[in-house]
Amino acid sequence: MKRSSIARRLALMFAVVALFVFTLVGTGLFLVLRVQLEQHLRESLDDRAEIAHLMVMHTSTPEKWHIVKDKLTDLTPRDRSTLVAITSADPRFLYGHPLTGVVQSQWGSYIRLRPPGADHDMLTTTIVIPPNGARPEVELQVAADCSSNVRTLRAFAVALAALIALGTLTVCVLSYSVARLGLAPLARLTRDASAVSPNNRSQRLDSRALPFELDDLANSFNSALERLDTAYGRLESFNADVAHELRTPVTILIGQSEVALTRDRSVDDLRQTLQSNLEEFERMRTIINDMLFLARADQGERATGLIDVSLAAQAERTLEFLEIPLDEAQVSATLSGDARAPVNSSLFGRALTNLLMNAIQHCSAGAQIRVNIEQQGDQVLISVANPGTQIDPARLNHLFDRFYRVEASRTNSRENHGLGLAIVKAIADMHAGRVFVSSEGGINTFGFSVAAPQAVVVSTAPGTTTTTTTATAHASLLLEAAAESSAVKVALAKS
Amino acid sequence: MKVLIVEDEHKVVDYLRSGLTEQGWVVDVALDGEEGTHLAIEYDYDVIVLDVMLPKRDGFAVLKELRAQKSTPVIMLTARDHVNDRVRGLREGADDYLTKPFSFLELVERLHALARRTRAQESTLISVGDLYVDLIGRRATRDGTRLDLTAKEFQLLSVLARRHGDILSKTAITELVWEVNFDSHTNVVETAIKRLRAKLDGPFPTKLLHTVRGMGYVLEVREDMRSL
Repeated sequence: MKRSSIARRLALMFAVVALFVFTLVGTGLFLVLRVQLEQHLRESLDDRAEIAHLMVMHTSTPEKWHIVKDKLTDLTPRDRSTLVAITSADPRFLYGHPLTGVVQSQWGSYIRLRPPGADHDMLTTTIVIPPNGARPEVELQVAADCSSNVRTLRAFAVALAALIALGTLTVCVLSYSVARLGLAPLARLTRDASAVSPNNRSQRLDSRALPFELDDLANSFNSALERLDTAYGRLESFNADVAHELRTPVTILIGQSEVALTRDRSVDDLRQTLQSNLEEFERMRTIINDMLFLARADQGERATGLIDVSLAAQAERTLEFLEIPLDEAQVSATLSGDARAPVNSSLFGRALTNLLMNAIQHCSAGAQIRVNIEQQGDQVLISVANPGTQIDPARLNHLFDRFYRVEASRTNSRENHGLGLAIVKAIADMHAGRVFVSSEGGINTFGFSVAAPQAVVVSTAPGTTTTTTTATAHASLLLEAAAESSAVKVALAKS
Repeated sequence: MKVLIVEDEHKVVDYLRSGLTEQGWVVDVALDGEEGTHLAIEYDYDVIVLDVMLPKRDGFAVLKELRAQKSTPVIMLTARDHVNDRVRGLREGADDYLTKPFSFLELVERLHALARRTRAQESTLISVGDLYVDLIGRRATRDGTRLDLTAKEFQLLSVLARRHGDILSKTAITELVWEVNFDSHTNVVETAIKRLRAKLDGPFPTKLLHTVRGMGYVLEVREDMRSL
């Protein structure tokens, strides 16, 4: 298929329109001219007929007839464009030969006819003159040649057709240039768009300089660029993060394996090297798994295996799991509030574990960590608050970033590779929730939310609440739930 | 116990074969999908380890053909951590899945579970050396002395005692004791083991609870402390 050009199409359409309008106007002019010429011809015919009529009317004797004949001959032009003929019953009162031929058209007393062998029509009119004296009733026929009219009309039509063709062609050419000119903003848009490249990702189309018709196009292009840019940026930082985080364990692995192999080592030494290697491999495995987890959340993957549960009950389990770390740090934890929400309990536990571990690491002995669950609209907020030093407000927004550490050093990187809070954010995203953080009055609060479909809460008795949600579980979700919990089931089967 | 490994990566096959053979398994290996299908259908295995990405015929195809004839338990290995792969595998009849990279210990755990191995200790009273763990009475004694354990410590001890002689990974312990099945990045297990060890081995000359560095923990009587 031939690709279409907007300018060419516009020019063609304009040309068709111009041709149509020109033809309309030309036809009108032509018709007006024809009517006028016809009118003119009839008038001149009438003039001649009137003169002849007067001459014949007052002639009553055959003696005076030759005078009439002479005058009638004078009336007839040399080119015979006007002819007069008189017929009567009396042969003494005759003049000329009346015209006969094929009648082309008739309008009142005017008859247009084509004499045999002639190449043009004659317009005739016939007057009956009543008898006078010795003269009987006679018939006066006056005829006028139409050929000059026809010639004029033909010339006019030819000139008109030529002008229409020329005009249409001009419109075509001019409208093509105008269309090209009008499309110039598109060319600018194209130039701007082609300047966008991976090295120049911040480049956007300037919609202010464009006609408002192109606003939508430029804006949707820009937002598409924005989305791509975000995705590209994530991918780039993901690659950089992974490479950076794997560099340390790989360096250790290469180094200590080389050292171990440069001399004859005892079995014990080699075992130690292997064990140390294993620890590094384990660390790499954790990083890979966590990064893939984050990447999946980045790609907008939603949590599956959602089960509507009491979040307080889930939090209880997490607190029980963290009993020992809490005890070791000599801090206590309280739990308040409750709400039901469809969550993947494994993911929920992981998020809360990370928040609690973060709190435990950042508060001193004797402190109290407060876990609170509350429903706000269609979100359930889970917050973990601990007394701690004020966090620089500029850093608050980055705390949930990957590999972001409040301490610039990487001294504690072995314990937690800086993904704890990023994973909390990913889990919140997977549950259509968000994360929040605040640092006020010596209390640092970290939290996340999960979406809870609008629930009908029926209070049956103080302390007991029945909740009905509209959450539906698809078969595939259930299957996925089975997949997620198969490990637990295996474990349960054994114990 | 017979296991069939269908996997095309030689290094993986090598360590699985030697590792599982050392643990008392009889190991058969197929290096591609066609051979795997043939062996899986011709012979009776207690469990099959099936990689998804295989030459000639992929894991799903092998599974489908096998399931048409046999219900041998299958554990699938996948390098892609995609929900679709997992769901597809399970829907088409796999019994369990493991995502690469996985630990050898974890695979062994899953294999035991799938093969429904009759455990050496099904009784409610387990003895390891001079340690007696009474699962019904929920009490443990060593050398006749009752150990004063918290509920969780007892649960941890009973998990180790049931599988005494086997190395249990931290992940497995977290799952079995706390029912937590994610990488928690906490020192819960280390600390719990440390506390249990203080009560279990602290007052006694022979140590029963051993750390296998980088792998996990094992409860057993050892002649020589440096033997592992």
